[in-house]
Amino acid sequence: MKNKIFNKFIFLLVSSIILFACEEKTDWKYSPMENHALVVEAIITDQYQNHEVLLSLSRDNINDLPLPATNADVKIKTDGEIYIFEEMLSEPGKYISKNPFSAKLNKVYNLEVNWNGNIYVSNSYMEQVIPFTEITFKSAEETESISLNFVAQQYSPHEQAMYEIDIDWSHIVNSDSAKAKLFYYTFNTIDVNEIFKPAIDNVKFPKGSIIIEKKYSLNPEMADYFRSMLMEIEWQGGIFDETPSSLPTNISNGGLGFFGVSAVLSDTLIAQ
Amino acid sequence: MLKVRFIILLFQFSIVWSFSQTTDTKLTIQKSKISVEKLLNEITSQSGIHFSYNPSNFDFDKKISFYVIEKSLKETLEKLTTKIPIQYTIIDNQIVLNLKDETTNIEPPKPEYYTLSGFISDKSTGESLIGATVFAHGKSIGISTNEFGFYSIYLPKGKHKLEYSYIGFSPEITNIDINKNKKRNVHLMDMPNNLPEVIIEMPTIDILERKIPGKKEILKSELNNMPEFGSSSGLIKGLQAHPGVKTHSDGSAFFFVRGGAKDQNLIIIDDAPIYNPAHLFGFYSLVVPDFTKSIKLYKSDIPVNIGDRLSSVIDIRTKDGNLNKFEVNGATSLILNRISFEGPIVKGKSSFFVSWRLSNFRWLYHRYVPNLDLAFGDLNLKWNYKLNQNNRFYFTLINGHDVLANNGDALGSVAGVKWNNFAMTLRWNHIFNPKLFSNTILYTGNYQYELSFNRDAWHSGIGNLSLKSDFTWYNNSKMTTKFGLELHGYFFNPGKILTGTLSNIFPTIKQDYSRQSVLYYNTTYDLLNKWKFSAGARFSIWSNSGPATYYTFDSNYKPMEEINIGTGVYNRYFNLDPRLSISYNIDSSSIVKFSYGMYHQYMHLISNSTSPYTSFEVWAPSSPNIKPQKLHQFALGYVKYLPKKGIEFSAEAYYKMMDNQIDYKPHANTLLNPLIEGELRFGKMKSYGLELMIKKDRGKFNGWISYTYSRALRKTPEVNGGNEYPAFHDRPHDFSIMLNYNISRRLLFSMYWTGFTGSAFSSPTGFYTYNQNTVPIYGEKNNDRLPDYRRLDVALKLILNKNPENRYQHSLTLSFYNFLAHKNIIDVNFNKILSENDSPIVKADVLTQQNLIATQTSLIRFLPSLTYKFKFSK
Repeated sequence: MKNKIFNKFIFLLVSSIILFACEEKTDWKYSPMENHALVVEAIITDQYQNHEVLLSLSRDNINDLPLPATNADVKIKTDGEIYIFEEMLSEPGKYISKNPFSAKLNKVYNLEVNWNGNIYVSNSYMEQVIPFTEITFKSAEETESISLNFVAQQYSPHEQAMYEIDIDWSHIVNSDSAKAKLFYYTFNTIDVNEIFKPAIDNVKFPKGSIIIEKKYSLNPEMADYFRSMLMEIEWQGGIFDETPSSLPTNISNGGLGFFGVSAVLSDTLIAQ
Repeated sequence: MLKVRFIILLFQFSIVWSFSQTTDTKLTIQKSKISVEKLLNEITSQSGIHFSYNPSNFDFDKKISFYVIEKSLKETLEKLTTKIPIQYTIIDNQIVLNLKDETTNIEPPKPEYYTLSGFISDKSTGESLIGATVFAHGKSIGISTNEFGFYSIYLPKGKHKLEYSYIGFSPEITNIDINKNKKRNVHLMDMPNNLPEVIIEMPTIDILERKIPGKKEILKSELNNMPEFGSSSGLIKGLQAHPGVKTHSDGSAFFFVRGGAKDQNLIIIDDAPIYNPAHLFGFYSLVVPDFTKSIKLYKSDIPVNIGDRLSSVIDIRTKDGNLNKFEVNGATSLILNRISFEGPIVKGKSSFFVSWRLSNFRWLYHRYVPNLDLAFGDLNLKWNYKLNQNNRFYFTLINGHDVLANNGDALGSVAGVKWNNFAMTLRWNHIFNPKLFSNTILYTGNYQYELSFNRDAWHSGIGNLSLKSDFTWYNNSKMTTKFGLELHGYFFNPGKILTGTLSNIFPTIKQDYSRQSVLYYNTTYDLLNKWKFSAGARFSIWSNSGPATYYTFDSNYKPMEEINIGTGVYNRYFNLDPRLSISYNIDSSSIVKFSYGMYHQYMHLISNSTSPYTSFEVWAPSSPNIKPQKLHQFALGYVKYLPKKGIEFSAEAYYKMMDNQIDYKPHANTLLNPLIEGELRFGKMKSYGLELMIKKDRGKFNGWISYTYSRALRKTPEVNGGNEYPAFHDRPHDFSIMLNYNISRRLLFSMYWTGFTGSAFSSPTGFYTYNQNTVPIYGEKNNDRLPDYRRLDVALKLILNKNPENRYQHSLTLSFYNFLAHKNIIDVNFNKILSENDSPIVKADVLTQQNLIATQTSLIRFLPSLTYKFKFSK
């Protein structure tokens, strides 16, 4: 219901304002500061597996590749249990738990990263995940392709969640690059710039594509982090922009990024 | 011998004759500071008669002020005796001065004073004239009419020569014998005016009354001469052309005055507040210029009887309607139509004014978006009735609406957003006696906003119902006192679902109710026609009343407790706001003024948006969690007017210190949030600046040039690490030029150019990656600036009538907004990629290898409009 409302208003507002507005590429000279802060990217889940923690450095330029933060000691503790992470030799900056484990409800998980002589800590906990709603597809205009029509409600007073959608049609076109990864979110808040967000790329794929959907539960702090992220990367640049600001973080000692714990549901389907 | 006697007689006769000639000479001396010696020399130089005196008896270096205009020698000498302790004797062709002996030092009996009062109005229309002046020749006594054309002047018993004058009208000079309190209504004739909206010379007596620093009177002719935007010369754009007033950006109704936030400006029409003065998200103004009679902008020294906003008050008075004849005004263009009717209901006693305006955009977009309904309109109504000499009634109604809707798609669903402004005033003017004028008003202002989808609707609003009794006591010729009482009831609806299924989904937001009681008092005292002192205070009590729900928050802004209030008052604020001003007339054409004022504001616009458009802002009252905003303002201004050339120079400096300024936590959630007060942060703001303006207000070539240097800096403990940062509207340099050139009687060319420093905004200082998304990092808040803003508007106005006496008058106006098509950037973003058709869009697939780009958005590169205006009178 709310999605429909949003779409209507985006359509209406854009239709009217576009009579006057013009957006174009610019060569903006922003002033980078020395950016080499540690970025922690870690979501452990209730799935029994080897979990991973990504460590990288912040950077000056928008399209530079992130530099990995290597040779760190990474561990997660909870209730006397300690999970040690080791860096993958093939992928510097990616740390994999030595042993598989699954996160549990009602536990607080503490992340500890020792990198470059500095200690970064964080903690988080898991909330329950509510079952999926069904993904629907729509035909892309003037092509044989389809695209995602509906993944999840953007607003729900009862839950907050992140949806990771991996789409793979490499087996159809015989190309390894025929893949896409999209993220969708459900929040218990509603924002003006979300309602009037700018146009987003419509990812098209052929019928028969393999869709792997993962739904992550978000506790309030994680939801706040991802909502803030969307404000900066997806909802910014529309008609009613909010004042930009750095994202919150739960990493101590000047670190960036977020450490979260989620319950996950996963599903695989064929796009029709 | 006879011959000798004849010669002596002839000599004596010649002396008497020559003396009588000299005493007939009229003397004019206007000196604010002149030594006695120089004054005597001046009298000798003008009259040709010398003084004889013993220098040791007098202090000839003593400086005195001395004003006589067209006075005989005898009258001049009489005046001199009141200034220094002398008596004079005229012997032959000499004036002998002696020290005044004690017997002559006895105080003369005090003259009896009486009051002359009445109304000044336009003879042709019967409209009362606001700010018209009455001046008693030779007495240096003058006063101007109030908002309803009423004056009351205190005069000594005797005969007086009075001059009634008003800008653009022929002055009326009349003799009157004052021996009791009298009433006199005066009707002034407007000057023949064959030029398009020509700005007519201002009577000299009006100069210092109208050009007081801190107050700006915006003439309708100035507004009408400005190049139009889309066939309308809006109030907001007219205001923005003046120093100290900064526009948000193109197409925005938001503006900032002297560094204050956008919610610190109060627009009142006939006393009723207008909460959103914008149509079409801000592209058009709610205020129709045809409906206005007077527009005053107060930037400092805001009168005690209007207020509760920190930065400015725009006081708009509407036309009463023609009391004598029926008149039709209108304008039509491809995008906007308007028409107004006015005329007498009972000739000379009661009249009406009604205007109607409707947009006409449909043809612009219908082909592309056939289901779109985009429109605005407004209806203005005024009625007035003169019951008798002492009682007048007025009724004003303003209703403006906007709609943006999808009238039904293939699925039959209907969605839309609409908002409505409503204001109504019922006024009773009563004259208790010639010295006491009262103005009692019952008024309401209301703003409603609705977002709907089929049967579901989200709704927010603000409104007030107010009663005000305002009194003016004309104590004497030197002193005027204002006092009064206000009672206000406010309701705030921060957003709730009215109907349908959504009411079960969205959180419940409780309405707020508040009351305000105000007492105010102000006295203005005129000393020696040179100094004017004004002192007063506004005492207000703000009360939050139940039923209500509010939350307490801990030091981390986490909610601690929900408090449910039944009925009754649960929170109060008491504030006494003193105001003080001192002005000094350096001479008859220049004035310097200092003012100090303390102000409180109890209503706050909650919005963390940088958008130029009015969107989902909600108004919130001062409450236990939101203290009233507070301001101390110091201002020093100087105005010099050269009447012969019609040139005015003004300079004003100000310093403002503001407390309890609302700021926001990063990515604050301000929409439909019951805990919205936890998203707010409170800090300080300071602003200062210097505003300079040179204006030529008459002649074939007229206009103004203005420059402002100003800063607006915020400091909030929880924002930007507690460090000071520039506000969005901190734009140090602001430059404007407005020029009108009357090419001929029927053709006016006008141009307006403005340029100012770009707004402060936050640009990234770095990036990092999370979930394969590129996330910006920000350093200092508002560390960067948008490019400087520049815009040139031009217009050509042609009067189609060859005969200016025609009953049917019509004209054509061709306007170009942003004539040079300059790209004025409203935002810069770093989150887009280029689509297949090279338009910027947000990246959805995080695996795509396409580089992110910086993008900028500009509005309204070039907008021409052609408007046909007409006027018919019967």
